Amino acid sequence: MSSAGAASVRDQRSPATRLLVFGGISLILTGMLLGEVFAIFISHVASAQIRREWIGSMVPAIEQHHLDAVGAGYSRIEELLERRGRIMDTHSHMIAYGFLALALALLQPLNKYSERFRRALALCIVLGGLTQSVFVFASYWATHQARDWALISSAAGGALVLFGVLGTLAGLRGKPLRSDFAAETSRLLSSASSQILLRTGAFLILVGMVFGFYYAWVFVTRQEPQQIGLLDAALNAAMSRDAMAATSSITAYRSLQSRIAIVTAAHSHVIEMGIMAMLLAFVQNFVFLSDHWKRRWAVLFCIGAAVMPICTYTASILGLVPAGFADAFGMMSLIALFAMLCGLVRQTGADECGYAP
Amino acid sequence: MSGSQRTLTAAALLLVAAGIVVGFAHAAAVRYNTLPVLQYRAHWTAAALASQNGPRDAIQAAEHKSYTYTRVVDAHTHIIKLATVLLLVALVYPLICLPEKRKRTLAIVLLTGICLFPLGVLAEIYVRGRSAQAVAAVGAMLVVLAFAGMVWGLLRGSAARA
Repeated sequence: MSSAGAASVRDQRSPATRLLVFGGISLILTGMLLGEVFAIFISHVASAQIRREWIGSMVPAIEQHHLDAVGAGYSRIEELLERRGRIMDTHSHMIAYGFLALALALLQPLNKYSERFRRALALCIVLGGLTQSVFVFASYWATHQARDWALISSAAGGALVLFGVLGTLAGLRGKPLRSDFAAETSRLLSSASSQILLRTGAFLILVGMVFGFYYAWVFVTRQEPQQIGLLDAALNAAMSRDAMAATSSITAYRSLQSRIAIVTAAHSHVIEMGIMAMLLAFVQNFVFLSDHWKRRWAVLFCIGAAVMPICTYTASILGLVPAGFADAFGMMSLIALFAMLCGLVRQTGADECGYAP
Repeated sequence: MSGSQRTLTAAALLLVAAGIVVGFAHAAAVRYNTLPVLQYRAHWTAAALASQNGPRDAIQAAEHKSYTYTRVVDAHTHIIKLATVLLLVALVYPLICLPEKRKRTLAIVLLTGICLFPLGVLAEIYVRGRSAQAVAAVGAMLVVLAFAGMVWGLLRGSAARA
């Protein structure tokens, strides 16, 4: 290996880079796992519960002008939506911070700061991301007073991430330390598994962007203006004691909201899976598995990444069966990601024992 | 690292920071309530006022609240996600097999689109009518076209290397 190549390997295996890679992948894995648990065990049950609350409690209470019962039903629905919001926020933030950590790991060879300071910045990003996400999650279950502290802690986590990003940006200023960064990038992406992940990732991001462009038009022109109209129609029907019309309008309102949530999830998931595939393409050189197995895990990840959003979108039309497939394909990508993490851990062990190539 | 690559990297990190700041400001403004809850409250208020023949201004204000929450959260998430895509483009920039001038043009178009799109989304809150929506749509279109060009160059590059 040339001296430049040896230097780049040293850079890529520095403690700050390792911290960002392991922290990033761990955050992504945890976020994905939370998303899977939410999709399989919580989301469908909570949606059915909200629909029951509307039809079984709210509509009759409005018909009978029973204000206390209306207030109680309103609070129960708000509670269910609050839980949904907290879990989704935790899921999306953890994955976004994971992406950021992985991307910043790739920039470490260009950072001019000392290894100690780079490690501190890496710690800010990983710890900050974890703190922010965990406290957003915990705030739902906390008591009123503890909730305030949880939210302050989550804000502190966000501030740490901001500090880490700005610190890294400052470290990249001026004349670059490395002149062989392009060659190094080319080397990192030379393996077959990297190429599979890179191409699939780029394609998925593009598809997600085009779909988002189309869906924004549908959302703004058709779906968004309908929501309040449907709820208004339901309340009017309930107040004039037309239970049938009220139930039908509420069902349409809830269906529209579910459809918006599912299609938005399909749009964001296809782009996120694409980003993840592209980021994973860069770390394949540090996955200590045979080329054959690296390729298998890359293919498995890509199949899951491509099919999961399609199934998610189909669930907005056909209901629960494609949603189940989406969960299964999401799990496929998760297993492949875990396998890659295991390969990275093996690489670290091999480095320390001096077996690594 | 080339000049364009460095510019894209710095812009991406600045955009990530800007996205985090927007998120902070929004979270503080809505007292850390989540989007589903905020929308539910706004929908309920608007529908309840409308069904009781409440004042038109109050109904419109409630409707506009729901509209605003969606736009701010959209801007926050899109700034950060597009910044991550920009960072990826910066990393693979040397592997994009296109003439340097065209690559630089695509990079400028991508960066312009990434800045314009969330600004247009945020402007929709304050500007009535189609102009702000048009700005957001043009921004999104620029992002899609520039990214498609970059992907084309990347695929050409990897085919040439194979």
